[in-house]
Amino acid sequence: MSERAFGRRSFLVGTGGAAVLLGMGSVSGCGTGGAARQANTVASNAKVVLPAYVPYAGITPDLPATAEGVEAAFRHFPKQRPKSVPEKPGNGETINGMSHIYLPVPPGVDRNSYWAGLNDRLGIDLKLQMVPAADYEQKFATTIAGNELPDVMQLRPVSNLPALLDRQFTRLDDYLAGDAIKKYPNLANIPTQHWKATVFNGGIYGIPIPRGAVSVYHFIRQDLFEAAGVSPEPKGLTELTETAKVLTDPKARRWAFGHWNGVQQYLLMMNGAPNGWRAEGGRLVHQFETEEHKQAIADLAQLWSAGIMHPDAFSDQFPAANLFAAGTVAVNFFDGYLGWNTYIQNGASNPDFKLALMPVYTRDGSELASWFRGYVTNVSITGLKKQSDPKKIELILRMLNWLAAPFGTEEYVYRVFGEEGVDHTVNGDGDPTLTQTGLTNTAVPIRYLSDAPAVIYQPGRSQDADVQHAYQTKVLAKSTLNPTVGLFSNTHASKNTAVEKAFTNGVKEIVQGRKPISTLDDLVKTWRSSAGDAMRKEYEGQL
Amino acid sequence: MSTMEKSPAQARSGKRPVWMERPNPLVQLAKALALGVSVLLVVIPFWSVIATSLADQKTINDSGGGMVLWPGSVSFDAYQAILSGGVVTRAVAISVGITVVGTALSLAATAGLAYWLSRRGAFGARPMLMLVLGAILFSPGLIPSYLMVKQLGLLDSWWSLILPVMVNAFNVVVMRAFFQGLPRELFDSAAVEGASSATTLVKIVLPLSKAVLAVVGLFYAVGYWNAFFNAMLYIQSTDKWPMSLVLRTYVVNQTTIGGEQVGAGAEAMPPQLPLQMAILVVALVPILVVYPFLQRHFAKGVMTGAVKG
Repeated sequence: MSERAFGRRSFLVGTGGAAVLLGMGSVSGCGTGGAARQANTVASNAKVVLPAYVPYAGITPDLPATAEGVEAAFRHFPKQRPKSVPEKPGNGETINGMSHIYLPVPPGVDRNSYWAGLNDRLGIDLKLQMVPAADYEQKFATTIAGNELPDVMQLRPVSNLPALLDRQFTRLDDYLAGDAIKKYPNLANIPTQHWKATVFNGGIYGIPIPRGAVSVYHFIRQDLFEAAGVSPEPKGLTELTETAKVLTDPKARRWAFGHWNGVQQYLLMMNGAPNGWRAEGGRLVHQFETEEHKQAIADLAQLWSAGIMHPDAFSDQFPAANLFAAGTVAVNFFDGYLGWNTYIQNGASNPDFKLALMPVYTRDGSELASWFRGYVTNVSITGLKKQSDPKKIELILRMLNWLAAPFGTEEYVYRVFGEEGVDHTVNGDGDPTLTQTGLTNTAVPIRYLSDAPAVIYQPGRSQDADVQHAYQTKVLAKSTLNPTVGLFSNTHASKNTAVEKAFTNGVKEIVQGRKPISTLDDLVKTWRSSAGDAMRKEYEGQL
Repeated sequence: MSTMEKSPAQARSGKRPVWMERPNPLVQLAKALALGVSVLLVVIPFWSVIATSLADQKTINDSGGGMVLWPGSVSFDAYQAILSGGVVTRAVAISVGITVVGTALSLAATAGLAYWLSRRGAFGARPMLMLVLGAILFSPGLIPSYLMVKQLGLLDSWWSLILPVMVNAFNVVVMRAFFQGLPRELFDSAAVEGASSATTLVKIVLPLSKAVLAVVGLFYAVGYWNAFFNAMLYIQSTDKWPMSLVLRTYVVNQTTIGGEQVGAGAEAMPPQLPLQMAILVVALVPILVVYPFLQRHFAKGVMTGAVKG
């Protein structure tokens, strides 16, 4: 789910607190270069020279990455672990950082051999503020308001982000644009498309945390499909419905589908709705305004009334992972693709458990539907506090370069798995596994400051690399990208949460049969007048 | 009902009043049943939390992915996961410290303020009371509070978790009402004996107010124990985090995100549901331990605000 963190989720989390950001206090921007701020327009942003892309060549994956965005896959962890950063980035300096954390908080550096070792390898005393991911917006708002910025911090979208970046954060063009990035080879290993999300005000303002273009998987329990004797690849709506009916048995507490939004997104893909927005002859049309969307909602209402979705499907607290692991629901549509590892673990106690992925066919089943590519395919971007000392900026970039070491390198092994024998063990095939100590210690959330492009790798299950790579290849062969990716809309940042929620609540009522489908037009009208048209205008101005 | 109506007459006619009659066994049984069901309604969810915290993934899967009533094979993995690494144990110690110090300071400040406001004609009591009542109606926003704490230099200090929330206006009002209910004659005779206001407070008022002190103290203690939000904002180094914030990183984060958390190649975390339930148990234990000692004061204390203003 987190793959959409930078696109939508964080807006939903609530940008309210951040709205005050810029009203607060005098901001410290002392504008060293003296360059006047450029407007955040397409004209100024188009002139930005994006960092060059120099893929890391030190390690050959078992299955290669492709231009369509399929990730490189590894059946086993590479035996050779080359060093990608020859020199220590720092010389005993201190750097303050801040990022969100999804894991239980690790022990402090004095009781955490992994963290101490990391500081040693970096040559930097990294002091990290960790914020529970759910609370990041509030912490961010107060940090900005208190003018207490750490040297380097994770940025999630807030209203007036361009102005905030201009006043409080470092413009990195001089260090990263074009060939300049070659000084930081691991950062140059991040494909160009990811850098688009870091461009504001006609400049580069951050380091992207890249993730795969596939963004989500449609997970299924293949063992349940096989037991019911149905194909795990139903083609078209009719087959999908028939399959789901076979899988459902309410008396045995088994349903085909889980949370309603997953099913909705699957049907939107199936019906060929836009991935967010669609450009039609220089104008933007939003998903909500299309016939395809309407059809998908009608289809969803049908599936709901057929009783093949879990009765709690509309609950916000739907425990999808638990129910999927238990086989109460057989299908978990539209979940974060990195969830593969989690589901494999959850199913480990069940010898029959077999995880698989379902492609999406068009409504009539004639061909594969167009896939929704990741919204931005970044988790977030990392900003550097504005400062006058170029040496400090270079130091921070050297640190981020070390932290972005690609999969399989010596630095990567330490960053993710820590010290062998303490934090992880290695099996006969060379696959590292974290120990209980490692699990606790390595939770330091440095991967949200800088990270290498994600790869497909499931330790101890070499076949999973092939399954996932084949799926990504299949679904990404035909895909749609949201044309507003990388653009900034202030209406979106400030208003979309509430407006989209109201719209979604209306859709839920329609699907559950409490309101007729004709009310959808009113919902769209309200959506347009309260935010939709304003967002369209702001985006179109940047296209 | 008809027997009830007869009862005064029966009592007057020399028989025992109805409340002294031997109760009807059927009614007794019905009462026992009703009480038993009520108790079960309270106990079963509680038991289920404990059972689930001890269950393994297989048991949970077999029960359809939800809570269990019997853990099957008992596993302490969830507790082990929480307590390994020393993060939670350290945080528990911090929370205990904050709760003890905070509650003591809160009680002292609240009692002092309430005593002032309860004395008729005390200097400035009227405007102060308005201020206190105003604090119930209006609360400062997130950012002003943060800036205040920052200006006081309390960031990353445990005092930031105590001072901003030390006096709760509602508790002041409750305590003031209790003090006002004490007989005036006590104060008068104390004054005649030459006791100062402070002596009166310490020697007379507080010993007579154990009930309200226990209740208000419990309110404060529970508040300090459970507070995570201020810690999230004000405490920068994770080494100083109190328990509630540490546990929050176990519960909230894991439920929101499926894939992002684990990354390539992490070993299995204990299944999420037992982990969450174990955390619930850990967070509840201290309150459960304290509660029985305060319980005898509790009923009287909570009534204080109910009938007096």
